[in-house]
Parts: sequence; C-alpha cells; structure tokens
Amino acid sequence: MEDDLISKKELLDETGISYGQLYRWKRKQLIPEEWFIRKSTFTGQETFFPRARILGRVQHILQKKDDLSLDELAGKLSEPASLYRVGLTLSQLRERNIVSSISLERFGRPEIAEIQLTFEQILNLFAADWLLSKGELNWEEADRLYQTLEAHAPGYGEKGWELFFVRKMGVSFFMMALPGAGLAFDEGVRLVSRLSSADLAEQLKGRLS
Amino acid sequence: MNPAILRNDLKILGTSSSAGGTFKDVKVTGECTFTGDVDCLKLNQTGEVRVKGNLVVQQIKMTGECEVKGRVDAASLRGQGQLTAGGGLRIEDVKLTGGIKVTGDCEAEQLQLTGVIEVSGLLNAEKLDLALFGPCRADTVGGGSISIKRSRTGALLKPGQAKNMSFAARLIEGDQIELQHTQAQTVRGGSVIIGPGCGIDTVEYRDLLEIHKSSTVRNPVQLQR
Repeated sequence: MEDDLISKKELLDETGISYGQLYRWKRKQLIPEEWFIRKSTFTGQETFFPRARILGRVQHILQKKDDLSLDELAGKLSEPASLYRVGLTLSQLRERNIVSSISLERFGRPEIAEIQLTFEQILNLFAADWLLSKGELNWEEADRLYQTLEAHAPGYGEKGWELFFVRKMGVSFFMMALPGAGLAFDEGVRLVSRLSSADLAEQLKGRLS
Repeated sequence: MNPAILRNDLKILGTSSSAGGTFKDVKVTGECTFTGDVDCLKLNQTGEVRVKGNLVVQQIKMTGECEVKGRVDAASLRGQGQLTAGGGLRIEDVKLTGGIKVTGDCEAEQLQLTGVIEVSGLLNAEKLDLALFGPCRADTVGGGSISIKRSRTGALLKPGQAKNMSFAARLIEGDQIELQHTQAQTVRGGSVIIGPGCGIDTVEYRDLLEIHKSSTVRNPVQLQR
C-alpha cells in the first residue's frame, strides 16, 4: 500500500515552518509518533509524513498557536474525532466556507438548514465536496457517494473507513473498506480516487475549530 | 500526577532495596535498588540508585549514578553523575555534569551537559548545549538551537586525549546550529556554523553557512528561501 507521502523537507518548504518548530511540536506530542515514517532514499534515511494528514495538522496548529498554549493544543488534538463536539448548521458551513454552497444546495435539504449537524455528517458532506472540487466526480456520482457514506460510514465506527472510487469501461462505483485494506483490481480498472476518513477528519478539524 | 494519593517521604542510608511506589521526597545516601516503578516529587541522591521500572519525578538532584531500566519522566535534573535510561527519557530542564545514556529517544526543553551523551534514537531539545568531555553520539539530533562544543576544561584536564572528545550523529537538524568536532552525514538548518574539527557529508542551509578551515564539508547546499 503506497500512501501519498511528503518528505520533511517538502513539508517545511510548503508550510514555511522551521525544523525547530517541527521538533518542538513533536516533543509536545502535537504530531503523533506514527506519522514519522522512516524510509531509505538514495541520500540516506529520510523522514516522511502522510501528506494530507500532516498538512491539515500543521495548518491547524499554525492557526491556533497564538490563542492556545502548546500543551492545551496537545490536549485538544489527542481527542478522537468522534468526540469532537462540533455542531454546525448548514448555514454556518456555508458562511465559513467549509463546504461550497453549490454542494450544500445539492445535498443539504433546505428544511434542515438550521439543524445542527454532527461531525460525521459534516465529514460526509466535506468528502463529497472535496472530490467534486478536485473535478474527479460528476454530480450524479457525488450524489451516490454521499448516499453511500450516509448509509455505511456509521457502521465503521471508531476505526474509520477508506473509500475507493474506481472506474471501468465508463462505469464508476464506490467501495468502502477498513483503513489499510489492500484492495486489488483487475487491469481494466482505474482507481480514480482514494479517501480515508482519518485524513479528511484531520483537515476538517483544522477548519472547524 | 494524581494529587489524591498520599505521599510520604522515603529516606535511605547505606545499602538497601525497596519495591518502589509513590513518595513525596526520596533521599538516598548510599546504594538503593528499587524493584518496581518509582513516582516521587523529589529525588535527592548521593551514591547509586537503580530503578528496575520507570521513574516519574518532578525534581532530580543527583551526585552519583542513577540507572533506570524503563522510562524517565522529570521536570528538572541537576547535579553531577551518570544517568542511564533504558526506555527513553523526557526531562524539561537538564543541567548536568557527567553522562547521559539513553536507549530510545531523549527529549528536553533545555539540555545543558558537560560530559558525555549517548542516545540511540532522537536527541530532541529546544536548546541543546553540549560541552564534550569524551566520545558522544546520537542517531539524530533535532531542535531549535543546537550547540556542540569541546569542553575547555576537558581539554586541559586530559591532554593528549582531546581527539576522543567528539560527537557523532547521522543527522542533525535545527534552526541555529553550531558544531565543533562533529562527524555527521547530514546537517540541515537555518544558520549553520561549522567550527574546527568537523567532517560532514552534506550541509543544507537557508541563511548562513560558515566553515572553519580545519573542517571539511563535502557537499554544501543552499536552499531557496
């Protein structure tokens, strides 16, 4: 399984943080030990991170570090996503630009515009919106994706899920699996996109709080 | 630390052993072996202490030797002597003359050491100040400001053995780095000052690189800002 990784150097270039900051956050356990992935490269051993997760986390820390001490932040970050007690209404999601208003109109039934959504519900919206904005889905597919997530994501509970979006001969379909499942396809299948709930949650957490 | 637990003092003179436990102040003069975990507010030792489990403590004041099989967690460490941790070490503030040997990672906010250090994993400190007194090594060093120099008194006290007072690491990364007598594969940082006696394969720096004439850097690379 080859996750999308980012090297430490790229991470520093992309986010503008320094080695000192990175090591400080590691010491304060703002960045979990498991995210430091050692790999050998032709220049010796290098450290890599899961790209989507670390970028989300760094953004989150940078936004918050002026308001909270690093210790307080560490406490917050270690809470599992499901305990993240955020309830936002659809209109708040729109205002804060977490989910684009086009997607909100499509998926958010207007009659519930003022009802608070749970983190999981927001995550499903966010997932559909994310793939749409990357241009990997069309509207019909996004509808199906959203329905699939609504129906099956709760069954995965704490462990989270991974979603595979594949196409073959012009027919597209979704598959959900436990994280880390190594799925294999026949040759004609093109894996368009792969999403994990953990990555999404990390990005979403940063935007919500 | 749970404030509800009743903490009592423990005082040991001479040679003894204890099962460990939760204490307020632990004072050892002589030799003591703790067969389990020790959790205390203050550890004041003169002589030898062995802990077969983990050590959690606020303040350590030591003269002598302290050997912990497991992990060490502390807020401050002061004194002279040798500290060994078998399962990682995290101390906020260290000021020690002597030696530190860690299997695992060694983490500190401030680490000021005159002596010898050996870390099998990552040596991670906001401010690292090493005065070398003998052969030191770590796999990786990371932090804010890193300064590794040869101890002046060491060089005077042990004439002719100065070449042993060196530091070896695979990788050193920090914002401000100042090195002397260091052998490393890769050094990466904002500003890097390479003092005398260093041999480094690759230095990647952003702002500044100075290399002493007696040192070799095979491959200096300036990164774009």
